Amino acid sequence: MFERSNSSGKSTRQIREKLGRNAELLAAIWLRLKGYKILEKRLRLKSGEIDLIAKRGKMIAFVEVKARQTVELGLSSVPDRSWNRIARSAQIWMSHKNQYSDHDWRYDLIIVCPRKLPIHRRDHWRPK
Amino acid sequence: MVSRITTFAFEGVTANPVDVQVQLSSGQSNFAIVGLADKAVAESRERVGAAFSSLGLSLPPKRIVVNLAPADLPKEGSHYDLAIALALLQAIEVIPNGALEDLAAIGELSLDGKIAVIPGALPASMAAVGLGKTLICPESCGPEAAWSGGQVLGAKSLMALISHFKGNQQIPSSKAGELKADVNVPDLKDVKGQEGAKRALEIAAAGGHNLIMMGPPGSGKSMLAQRLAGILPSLSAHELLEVSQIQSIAGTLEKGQLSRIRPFRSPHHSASMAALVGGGIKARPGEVSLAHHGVLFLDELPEFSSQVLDSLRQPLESGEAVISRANRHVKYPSRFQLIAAANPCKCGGGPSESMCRRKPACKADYIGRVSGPFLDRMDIFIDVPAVTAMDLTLPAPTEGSKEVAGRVLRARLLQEKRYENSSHSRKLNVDADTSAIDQFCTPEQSGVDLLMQAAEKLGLSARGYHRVLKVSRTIADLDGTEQIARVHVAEALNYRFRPITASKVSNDILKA
Repeated sequence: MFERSNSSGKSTRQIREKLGRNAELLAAIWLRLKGYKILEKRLRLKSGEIDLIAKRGKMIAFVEVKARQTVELGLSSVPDRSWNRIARSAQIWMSHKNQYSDHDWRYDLIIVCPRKLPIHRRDHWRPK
Repeated sequence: MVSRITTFAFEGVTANPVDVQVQLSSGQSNFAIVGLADKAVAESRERVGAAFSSLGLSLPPKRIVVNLAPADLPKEGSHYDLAIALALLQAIEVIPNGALEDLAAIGELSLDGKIAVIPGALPASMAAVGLGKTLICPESCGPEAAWSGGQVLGAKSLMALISHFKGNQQIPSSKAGELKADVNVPDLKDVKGQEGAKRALEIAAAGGHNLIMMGPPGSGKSMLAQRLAGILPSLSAHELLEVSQIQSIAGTLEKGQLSRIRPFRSPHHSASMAALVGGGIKARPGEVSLAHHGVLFLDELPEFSSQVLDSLRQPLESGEAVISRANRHVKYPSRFQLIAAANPCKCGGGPSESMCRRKPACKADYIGRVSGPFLDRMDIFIDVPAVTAMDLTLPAPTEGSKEVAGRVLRARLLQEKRYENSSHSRKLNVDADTSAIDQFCTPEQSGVDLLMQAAEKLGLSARGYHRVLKVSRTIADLDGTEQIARVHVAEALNYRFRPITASKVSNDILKA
């Protein structure tokens, strides 16, 4: 499912889009298996996008999903700029959800590599 | 819930208690340190985080607020790390609740969780004793901190402390370091000839007077000065504590070993004002404070910049160095004895000054670099003539530092008894105030007459007049006589500095 092929006649852009959606789906399933409840998928706000918002116990996780060939590539694929955008969106989202006001938040990264289980990095980034 | 522990902020040699409070609350994960922390304290965040991950712990994904109270006291230095880490460990329940009560902590964390050495363990430990708390400090600072007599835990690493609190492995309390045995102080026996200078040195040591030696190069000025520490009585327990506190702040106490030998500091003549009086970013103690209760030796006095010398005037008078900052004043004690050495003129003034081709202008110019008010504060002024080859072939003098130290001690005991009720920390003639001078330093009538005549002839200042009386008191003390005799006044007058142009005290005054 990760192999690139141009036989279907789709552009590279479309293939990558598909790849990302598949990775997000896989990540969501993976989180469900780990006991998280998925609150939002592909949340789009004016300030930016959040791939997944999950909850387990009193903890809300804002998750960024990346599909890359290797874990190392995945770890370095999200710059601070993007995290700051995610953090801004997270703040806006949290401010509308009063029921979660006493919950802790954190920012996670899930890396999906071909023919491997997804790697879940908890608390991968912290606001400076 | 707030977990808290005590640490200390240093202001001069006093350690002020600082309450470290850590609160965890839900919300966007964040780690903030508040309470007027400087850069080194704010960076503590990164060190604590790294030390935690080296232990396999992670900071909780919560809002972490560290408050250093009182919030208006400026805090600088890296010794807050340990207290912050311990309070945080309690907040995330790694160490049991209530374990940090009655504890104070100072120490810097390294990235691998080890606790690094910091200066100032002794004042912190004394403050902890005052609060009735046990001090946790770096292991290598333990022997130094234990001198305060309180309970001290010297910890190697954060891991060791966690095991201690969990009861797995107790950290034994630190033992005080050893008193350094007599380091070899040079003996007065090594100096051949120079009997006059030795006598002046003895008087200076007995009364704590400031001394200036003037003589051509190679006449043994520095040699004599270095031997002063050997004839001074050793530090009393109280003085030892004061001196060690300053050394602790300056970070010069090695392995917690204290020494009863009085400090002897000889800064180079290129020293800046901040190096001498104290200063710098952290308002560190300068040479005058490191020489507290000891000797500050300024070799080649006229080579010091005049600004630097004049900055010594205030510490000389008041016995403390005040470093003023925009928002505060830092005070360090600096009750030292000043010994200076100088060549008579720029060309060195060769054997008996005959080598100087430009006298007397050369001499006047050279000494003129030192300001008059500064020289006015010198009690004893002695010429150290060149040593002749004859002197060197003489057998070594029979009298060494030990004999002289005995006489100095006897004179000092007399003074201690005399000034029992005075408020000065030093009970010495040099510190006698005006009322004490009137009471104890009045010579016999012929001595008073001599002094009156000399004062008129030499143009003694009021300070100069009192200083002559104090020196004559010391000379009488060395003789062991209650009444200051005419000879004592005469000798003291002889040691008084007089401007080059002024005539020497002629013999007919002394005879009259």
